[in-house]
Amino acid sequence: MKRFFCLVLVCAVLIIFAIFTISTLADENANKTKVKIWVAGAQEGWLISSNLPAEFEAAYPQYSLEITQYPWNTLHDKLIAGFLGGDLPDVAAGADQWVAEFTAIDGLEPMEDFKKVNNYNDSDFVTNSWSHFITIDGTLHAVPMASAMRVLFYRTDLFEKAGISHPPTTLDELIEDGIKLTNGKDQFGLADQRDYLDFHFFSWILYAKGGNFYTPDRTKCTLTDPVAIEALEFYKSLYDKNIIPKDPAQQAETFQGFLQGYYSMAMSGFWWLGLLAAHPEIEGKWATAPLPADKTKITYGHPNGWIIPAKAKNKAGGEAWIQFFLKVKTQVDWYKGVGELPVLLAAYDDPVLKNNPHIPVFLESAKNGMDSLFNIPNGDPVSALVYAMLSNLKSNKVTPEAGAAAVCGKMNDMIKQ
Amino acid sequence: MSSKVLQIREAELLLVRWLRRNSFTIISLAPVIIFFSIYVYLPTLYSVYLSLFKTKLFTPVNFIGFQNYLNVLKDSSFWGALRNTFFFTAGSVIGSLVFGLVLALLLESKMPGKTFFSSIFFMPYIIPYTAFTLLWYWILDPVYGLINYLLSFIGIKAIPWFTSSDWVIPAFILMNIWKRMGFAMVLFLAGLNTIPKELYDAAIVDGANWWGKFRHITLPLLRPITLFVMVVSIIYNLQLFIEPFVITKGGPSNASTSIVFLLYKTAFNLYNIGQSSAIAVILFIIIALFTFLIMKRFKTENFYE
Repeated sequence: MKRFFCLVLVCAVLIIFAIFTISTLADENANKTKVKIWVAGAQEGWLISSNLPAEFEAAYPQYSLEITQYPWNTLHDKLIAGFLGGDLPDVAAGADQWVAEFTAIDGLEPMEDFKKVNNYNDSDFVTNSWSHFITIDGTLHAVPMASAMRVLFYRTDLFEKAGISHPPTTLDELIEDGIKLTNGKDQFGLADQRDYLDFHFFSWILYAKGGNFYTPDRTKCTLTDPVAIEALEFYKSLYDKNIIPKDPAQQAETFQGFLQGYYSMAMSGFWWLGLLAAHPEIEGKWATAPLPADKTKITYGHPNGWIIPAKAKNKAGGEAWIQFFLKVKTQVDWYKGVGELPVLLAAYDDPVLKNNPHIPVFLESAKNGMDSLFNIPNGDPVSALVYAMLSNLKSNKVTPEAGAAAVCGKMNDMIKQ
Repeated sequence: MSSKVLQIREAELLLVRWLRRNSFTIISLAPVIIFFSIYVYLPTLYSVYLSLFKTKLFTPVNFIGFQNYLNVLKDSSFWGALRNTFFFTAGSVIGSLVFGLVLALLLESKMPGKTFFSSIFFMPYIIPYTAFTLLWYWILDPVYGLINYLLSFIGIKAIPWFTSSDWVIPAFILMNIWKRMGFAMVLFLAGLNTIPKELYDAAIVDGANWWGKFRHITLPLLRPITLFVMVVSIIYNLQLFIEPFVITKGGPSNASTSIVFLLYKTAFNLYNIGQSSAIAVILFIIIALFTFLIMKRFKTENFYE
């Protein structure tokens, strides 16, 4: 019996060794340099099974791709661990708020030379695509990957029922229409936003009012300025007037609420196009419009980017991937597969984007101007601070002035770090 | 030979004999000890070390003594997180103990489908935590959630579970009781099976009713199990993290920020590893203190006398 088991063990080892040797010999990528790409989110995992890797390897025969997809939070932590001496990719998808954060810990490769060598012009890209990734010291540490503008989604059926002929174009019209669309029981004018989406929502109002979170040199909090206080008062008034449900027990989840007609309007992004398309029962009952403006047309929005770690083993391969990605065909294919909007303006001439009635709205929104908080190293903690203050504001636990002062007291230390 | 040399030789012989006698035990335990040393004990000690420094990521830069601890104790968000965590722990521990015991008592009786129901009640315990959290995100939605829908049938107004700072911790408690009462139930069931039936027979002869039997026999003899479940639950619940991380990001108004969530934000958002290590050490002391006090208060006695 003992002899039999020894024999089985030896055979198993030989078989495993043979498989390993044969697979290595048969590996047609044995002579190619590997390019490791990390992408984020379930949708971006589409890349693994798409045609893009084959097309890249045909265009760059010296490289083979190894693609791994992680959830967003996991990718952030994996990159941090990599910067501390762990495994790193050659190029990775990076949320915009990570760029300044990772730059502050010397984790990223500067990309100005890449931009210059490849002759990328700002005018060929969606507004703010490149400048958004320039950190406070004036250096560029990411390359634009996809645009994430926000627009107004609205229920055309509810608008028609209320006798409203067009979506609001100003914040004052937003209030007027919101009141008409609210019955206080099972229909409200505007959707409540949960956790950090609430912070994005307020950002739009702040920028529309002509305000910002900090001075242009990003050293001082400006939430206590009169325009910012006006923005906070406007935000609060949406709850006081019950246009957004004031009672927390009536604050339904944003997408479900819009789907059910509970919310007549909602601020959201490109991912809602795919979500709404999966619900044929609502087809023809919704549309998009640029977010209402006030003193400015600037709204909340930002690009997400490709980042190359400073300690990546194959930076040239990572740059080759980005060059391939920033071609019109790849941008269009990425939109078709993942749903993320292109950063290259020429991609919007492709019929698949041009014929979508909602895409021009996103593009107009971008052309009007978009901004976001996240080009400071402590973007996440600052947004957490503002989010907490907004929660207190809408439940009347703090006045706009006191809330802004409390936030600025802490923010000034955070943005200087 | 001098007496000292003889003593050393004798000690060496005793050590060799002890090693020979226990060689199997030592070899069996070695991998676990090595693993825990590398992945648990050494990182814990390094964390305590880092808590005494101003850090740049995981590298100590300047020795600052207990300054990180003072910064933590002066921070109002730490006390808020501590209050949230204690409130959550108290509610979860009491709830899972009570419901676990009730389920165990019901299942201990002769009833059909006992094994089936035991499995059903234990199942929430093995659901992956993130999936369980996302499930309850929808169950507790104030407008579309199942719980508010059921409450509406008995005339209770919709509760703003995750959207109100007053209700977010009770929401977490409810979720946690559902998840962990099965674990308590299984342990209590095992404990109930060890209670000698003769004691209940004797109590019946003496005229004890159900409450008398429960109060004077069941509860006291379940004390060791209760102690174990309580200690394990407290240790576990003081480390509340997944729910605020996945569902509420610590809101609304920091009402669901727990100590571990605060530790995470301090470490991985603010990159202040020294201060987050100080929070970790303080949490360790709190857990150790709770465990010590409970073990001391509920010392095991010989209940069979």
